[in-house]
Amino acid sequence: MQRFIQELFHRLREGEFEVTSPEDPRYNCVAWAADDVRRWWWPAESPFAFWPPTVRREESVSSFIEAFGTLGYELADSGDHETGCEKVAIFMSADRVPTHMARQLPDGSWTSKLGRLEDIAHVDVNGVGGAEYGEVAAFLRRRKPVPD
Amino acid sequence: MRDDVETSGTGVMITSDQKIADVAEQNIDEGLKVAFEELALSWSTDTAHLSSPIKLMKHPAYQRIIGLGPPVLPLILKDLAESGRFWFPALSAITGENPVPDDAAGDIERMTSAWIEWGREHSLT
Repeated sequence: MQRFIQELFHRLREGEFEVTSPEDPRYNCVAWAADDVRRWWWPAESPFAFWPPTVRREESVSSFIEAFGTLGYELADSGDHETGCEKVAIFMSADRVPTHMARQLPDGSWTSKLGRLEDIAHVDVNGVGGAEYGEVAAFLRRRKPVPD
Repeated sequence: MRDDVETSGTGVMITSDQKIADVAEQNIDEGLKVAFEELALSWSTDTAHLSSPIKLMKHPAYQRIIGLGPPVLPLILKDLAESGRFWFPALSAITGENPVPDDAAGDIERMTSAWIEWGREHSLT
């Protein structure tokens, strides 16, 4: 699987990423970024995917920003690690259509769910960028929720 | 005329419901099974890493599977039950139905259960 992933994402270098889950069709990258492993998130026609009910179902970066706004995220200047903050990245293709999301881990590295395949941890957020997912269009951040 | 309604040679209107009932009574054609498996593999290989249902649906192999029509329903439902692959738009496109409750949108397990139950009710599983 490591090799298959590297064939898809040429920027991922040996030793700079690892597979961290089994394949799971129940959730996708956006759900994973939102910490939801029960649903497939996308602003597609209902009922094929979940999208926050108050946000328009439109395949645009602004719709993704609004969706994560419902979770307390707001635009960030960069993906640099900030203590006490959680960050996510929205990727888009050259035609400005969102393709992927990644979530920052507490150590500053990133985690991505690859469609219906596995989750991976990758050192560089741009490791999954390139031909398949395009480039990062926006970083979002929120204060780490206080545990109940 | 609705897309899901055709006129038979005798002028009788045949709805998708009738076609689905016909499928339930037939054995699965081996050629259809091979075609489905090849198309499903092509689609799955090319799109497994993608999250957009819109991209999944637009893939040419997926569209060709939809084009196979009601006879492919038992194969799709079997694959859905076994693999959980994203067959929901294809099932809706072929049947014109949506058995998934609004509050289950995106919940793959509940969506799968709803379609498997629908298949059972139509004797397709």
